[in-house]
Amino acid sequence: MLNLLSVTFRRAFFKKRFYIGLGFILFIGDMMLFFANDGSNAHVDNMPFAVVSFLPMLIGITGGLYISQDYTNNTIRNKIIAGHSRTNIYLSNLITSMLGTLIIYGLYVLLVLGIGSAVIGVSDSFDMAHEMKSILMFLGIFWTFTSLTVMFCMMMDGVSGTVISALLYILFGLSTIIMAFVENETLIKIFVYLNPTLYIDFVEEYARGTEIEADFIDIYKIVIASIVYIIASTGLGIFVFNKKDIK
Amino acid sequence: MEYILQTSDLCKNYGKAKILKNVNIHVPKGSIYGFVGRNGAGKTTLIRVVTGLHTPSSGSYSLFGVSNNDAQINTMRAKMGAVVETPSIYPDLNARQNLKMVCRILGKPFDNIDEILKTVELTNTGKKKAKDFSLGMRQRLGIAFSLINNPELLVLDEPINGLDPQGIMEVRQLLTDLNQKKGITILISSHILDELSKLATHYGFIDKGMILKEMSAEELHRSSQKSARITVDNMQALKEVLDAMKLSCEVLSANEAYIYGDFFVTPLVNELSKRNCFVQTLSQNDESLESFFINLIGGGEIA
Repeated sequence: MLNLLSVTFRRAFFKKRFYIGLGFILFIGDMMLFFANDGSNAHVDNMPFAVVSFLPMLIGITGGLYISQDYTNNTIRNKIIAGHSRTNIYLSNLITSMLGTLIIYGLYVLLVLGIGSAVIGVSDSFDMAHEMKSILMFLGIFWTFTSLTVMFCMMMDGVSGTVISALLYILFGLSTIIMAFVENETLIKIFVYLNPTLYIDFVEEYARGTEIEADFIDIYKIVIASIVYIIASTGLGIFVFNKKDIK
Repeated sequence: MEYILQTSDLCKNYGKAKILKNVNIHVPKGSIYGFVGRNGAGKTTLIRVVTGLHTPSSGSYSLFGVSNNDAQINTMRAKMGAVVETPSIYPDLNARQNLKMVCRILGKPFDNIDEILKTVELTNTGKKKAKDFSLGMRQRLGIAFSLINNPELLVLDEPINGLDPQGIMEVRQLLTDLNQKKGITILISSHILDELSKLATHYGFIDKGMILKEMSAEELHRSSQKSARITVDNMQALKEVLDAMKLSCEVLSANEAYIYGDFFVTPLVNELSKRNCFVQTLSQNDESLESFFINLIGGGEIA
């Protein structure tokens, strides 16, 4: 496993693609600090949550491209022929992708909170514990998207997995249209807990301290749902990948 | 005989298409096993199955005596090197970096990279990225990948495809050296049969997903070289003479037969003449691997 991680880390984090994604997100953080530092009453309290809507797409694209290149170059064969178990190959990609997500979001948060709080400052009502709790919840949701990205990319060959991963956030978002036709409250609850795009909306409301629109939502159940999603998608992904024929 | 790789009624289906049908092959330790078949016969599919890239639909195989259903199969697979169809190289890295990457996958030190680069004659490629390599260089890099782990079994799928004559000669020499000097067992598939016949010590012939025959190079030599086709006007007389000379034959028609074994032509013709049997034609059957294979599959075009 360590051998595999050594390779996946190298292939993921020693590539321009990763630094372009990282640079992009840090550039946004930079810009937000730049425009907020104009002498107005702006503060950094909610800045860690400003990118949460499009981060899943960024994760889908960078993670998807990283994993699918192993298929397009056929280099995934090298790992199988070398005698690594498919489960370990899958998990090494998952761990690497999750670490990538952590680095991208973690550095963004460090930038806007670390530098931002020193330059711009925080509001009087700023609660560090609440902020950290919200950030960790978002990280959990991003890892949900990461695990889904890894699952689709490992189950499909080439770019198709990347395309689906990149569009996951939008596809889940569009699926909320179905909710408009559902009247049964239990079904709505199930649907909400099955839709990670909605997790972002609810946790964002929680993080900003506004009242959650859907009053039946238990924010901690969203954390549990994220964990269940990660475990289920990883289990399904490993099962399918173990049966899959590699070209 | 000790077999490094064996399959037992191995089947592989893609949907309703049956690509491998109850395949049984036996690759002896220390051999160069030539896997012969037309395009689409199932060669690459079988290689994909035994290298773990594809899962068998039914049946089983064993590597170094360990069944594919055994948890130890991945450990055994680590004793194998393989190039399946096109080499799986990292296009954005140079030859040395490519080998380092494979060393990392295998958890091996970088000690023997220089030696391997020398073996496959890629020492002078410098910083040239693998995506800019010629086909021959890519093939050699693929073979280099498979050598990093000091394999006991090398599985090569069409390794000389697209190589120029010089490249083919180099790969042949390399494989012969690996087999004879390092004792590496080699399973090699190719449809360049003339080239394969210069290397292989054993053969497996596959067509339409079925193994038609397995034989050693010696057996092939015996069955293809030492036969003669004779046309006579009295088949009964021919049979009697061949019986007396302790030679076996295969009757093809009322006038034609194959004679197997070593014999002198003059005594045979003299004996037949005594029985008023006239020989119309007699030709040495100097069969190549290619013609043997064509006869085996019942004619048709080799891809």
